[in-house]
Amino acid sequence: MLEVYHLGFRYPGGTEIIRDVSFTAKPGEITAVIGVNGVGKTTMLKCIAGLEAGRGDIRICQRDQKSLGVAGRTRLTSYLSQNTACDANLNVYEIILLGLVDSLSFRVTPEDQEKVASVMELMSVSQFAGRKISELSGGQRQLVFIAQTLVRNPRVLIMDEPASALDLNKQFKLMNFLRDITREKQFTTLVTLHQMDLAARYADHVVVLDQGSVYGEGRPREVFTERMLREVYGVEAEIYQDRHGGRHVVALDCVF
Amino acid sequence: MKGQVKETDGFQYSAYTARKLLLIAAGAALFLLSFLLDITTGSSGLTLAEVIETIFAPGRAEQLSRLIVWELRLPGACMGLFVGASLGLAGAVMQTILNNPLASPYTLGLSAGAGFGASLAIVTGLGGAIAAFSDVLITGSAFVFALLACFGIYAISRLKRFTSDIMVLAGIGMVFFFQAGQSFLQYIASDEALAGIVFWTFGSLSKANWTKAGIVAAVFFTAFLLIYRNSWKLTAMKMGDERAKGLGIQVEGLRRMMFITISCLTATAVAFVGSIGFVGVVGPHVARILVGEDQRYYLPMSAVCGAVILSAASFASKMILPGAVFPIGILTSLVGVPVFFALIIRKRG
Repeated sequence: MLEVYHLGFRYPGGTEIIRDVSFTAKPGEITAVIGVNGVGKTTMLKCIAGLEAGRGDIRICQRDQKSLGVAGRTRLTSYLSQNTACDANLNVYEIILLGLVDSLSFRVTPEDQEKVASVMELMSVSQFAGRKISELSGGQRQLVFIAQTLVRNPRVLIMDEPASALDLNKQFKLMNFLRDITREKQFTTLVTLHQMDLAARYADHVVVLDQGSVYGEGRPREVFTERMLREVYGVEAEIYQDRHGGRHVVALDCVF
Repeated sequence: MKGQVKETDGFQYSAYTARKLLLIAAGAALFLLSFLLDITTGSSGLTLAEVIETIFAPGRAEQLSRLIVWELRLPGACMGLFVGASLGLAGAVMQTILNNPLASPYTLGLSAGAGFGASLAIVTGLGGAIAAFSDVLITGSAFVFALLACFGIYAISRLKRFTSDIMVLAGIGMVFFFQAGQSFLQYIASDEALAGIVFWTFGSLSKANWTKAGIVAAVFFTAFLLIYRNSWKLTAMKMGDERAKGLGIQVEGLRRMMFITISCLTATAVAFVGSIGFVGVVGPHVARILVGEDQRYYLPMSAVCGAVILSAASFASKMILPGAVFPIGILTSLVGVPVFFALIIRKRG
């Protein structure tokens, strides 16, 4: 469970990025955060993950984020950056192993090796094990970093644009996988997404950010409306339902 | 992500890490060879057998042999070992915390600070005022100014949350500042003082003794322990600040602590031997190629590479001009500059 109350954030000497954001993300559900570029989605995720210090209260698994401390926070949460660049001279196995950095000793135990092997198999990246991370494509690197977040076996998964570097096929595979693992392990999964179709199809709960606040939230069918798309994104769009009951957004033109 | 074809390239982590340990052991063996060549080379004409006998059975050796081996060659070789290892280790940590393969004590102005400090002591006569302590005063002044260079970088970086970019830029500023200061001192120096400055800036192991080597060794081992216990965190820093923070690493605090540690390490090393360039760049670079950037292996390998380079340079410096010792700092720079250019070109590529 992740609860956010009246979150605000301002960079030193800068403008206020987030004014007042409150929402709750439940275990076993994918909560998608959407909004235009620069609205503060990434900053909000960083505040929740503890990478930036904002105002307001954040409760992770019913415990106050600030009182958890760094060790407590990293035990419960796992954060995926949207940046896939990495030129470290480390191979894929080593990168995933670093997900366990807070518990590793000089000798990597067979248990730790087992955890890495399992998550590599789960994410289908075993074939890259010995390859340098810098030699992989952006999409492959993204899968490796997702594996790194999963090896920690967190309670709350915080993922910034996890599908952005992937091709269409892998976007669906990843989102299917995230939905299944969220249900199975009862993760509280919080993701930012730019792809409306993915958010509409896979999210259990959607939070729309606009001008530093929550414009609206709810089930995808409640949130994805032509009015929301016009007011938040400035586009004329049509929303239709496919034969499987999924909702799709077709943007027609910009309105401002 | 099920549904994809599952493949494996047969990667075995245990074998992979065992290979790295083997490479470190091979590096240590290479160092031993270089160390042996270094202590058996010199103008006195001692043979290998005589040197070995003097080391292992000093009671049976002639007094002159004992003096040459135990008071001149061994302290110099040990000084080369610990200074090389210190510069290699400091360079590796600098390159890691600043995420810049060109960072080193030399390129960040610590050597320039030490050079200015030594020059100041020589020009002001501080070094010669109390003859018995001249060496100590020059070394002390070099140490203080190397630390001042670090403090300058620290103070500027503090304003910008210790980001790697600002630390590198501040370091480059320190290089120009202290080099300008040293040029000024050379401009106003007497002929005798100028010769002293030039000799110091060449870099040399010839003034080594057991006390100095012991001090450098003690600082090296202390720094190594402090750094090595953070090796996993430093490895995580190689993925970038944001990812490291996401894993719960307090990046700014770690960077600050590591910088203070390597500042003391570098200041001690360069204060005793003068400006020895590029060991701190080339050593870690070779280590990175051999064992990658898992710091559990990269840090000791960088220290070993630094020690091998300086020991080999010490040996070569005695071979270039028969009967004389070629300044070791010139040698390391002559080899280091082409490697430095290769690094820049590779980085651009």
